[in-house]
Amino acid sequence: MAETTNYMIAGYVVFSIGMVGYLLSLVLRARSLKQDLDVLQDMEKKEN
Amino acid sequence: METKPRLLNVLDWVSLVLFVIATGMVFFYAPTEAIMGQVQRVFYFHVATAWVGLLGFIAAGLAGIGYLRTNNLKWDNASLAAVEISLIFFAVAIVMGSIWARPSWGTYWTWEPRLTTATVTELIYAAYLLLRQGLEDPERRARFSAVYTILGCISVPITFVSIRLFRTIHPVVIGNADAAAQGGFSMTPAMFQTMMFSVVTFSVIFVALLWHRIRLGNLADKVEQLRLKLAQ
Repeated sequence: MAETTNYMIAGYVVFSIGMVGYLLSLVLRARSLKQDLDVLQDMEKKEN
Repeated sequence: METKPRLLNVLDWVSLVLFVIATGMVFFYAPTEAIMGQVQRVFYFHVATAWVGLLGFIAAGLAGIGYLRTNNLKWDNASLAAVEISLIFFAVAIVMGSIWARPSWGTYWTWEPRLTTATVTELIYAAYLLLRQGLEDPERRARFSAVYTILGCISVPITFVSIRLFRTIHPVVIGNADAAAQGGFSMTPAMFQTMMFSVVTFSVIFVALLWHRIRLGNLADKVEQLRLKLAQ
């Protein structure tokens, strides 16, 4: 049997980076949009 | 953002539990393949991520049809969400496959039919995101995107059947393998169960992510509308 453990680890590192990276991007974008929404809603209240 | 629906909460937890079980099966239930050794364990999530990638591209095409039939921008949001998620999963599948190929084929990359069609599919949808950014009018962008995703769908079955139509070194795990295939293996029942469980798990994860991404798109629309309202 070939010794290929390092390749397996590399494969799952790539997988983890892809998944965690995407989840993180979703969270950060949602947080940024919520902040924008709060600011805009405050501005709207002040205008009214 | 609207309150997170209870069903989405349930879906998140189900996804997490399924993912933990699938990971456990990959590392502790599926046997080590006799010739390739440990790297064969990459195969389970490689297949599952590739499946989700192609599934999402088809979902995007269906959402495109939904938009053309209704002119409702919610379909455009769904289509964009599906493409974005699929691009990530499909890119991960391609890189994982490439890592598996190194000890199996002796090279990270070769322009054989499956790798070539998969790369073309990935590029088609990467271009979709870039082209969307060039269109400012939401209606026009949605119409253009809908037609693009419907046409883009053609690449999905071509990618899927490429290893069955052409002589290739990419193994066909389910069905008859070409004599030229390298790195193919006979799946034991435990291997097959692990693969199928991973595919189901990633399909559930895809649905959960799609729902989250659609909600993000709705929030972005809300912010944009408020911004336009205040600018007037």
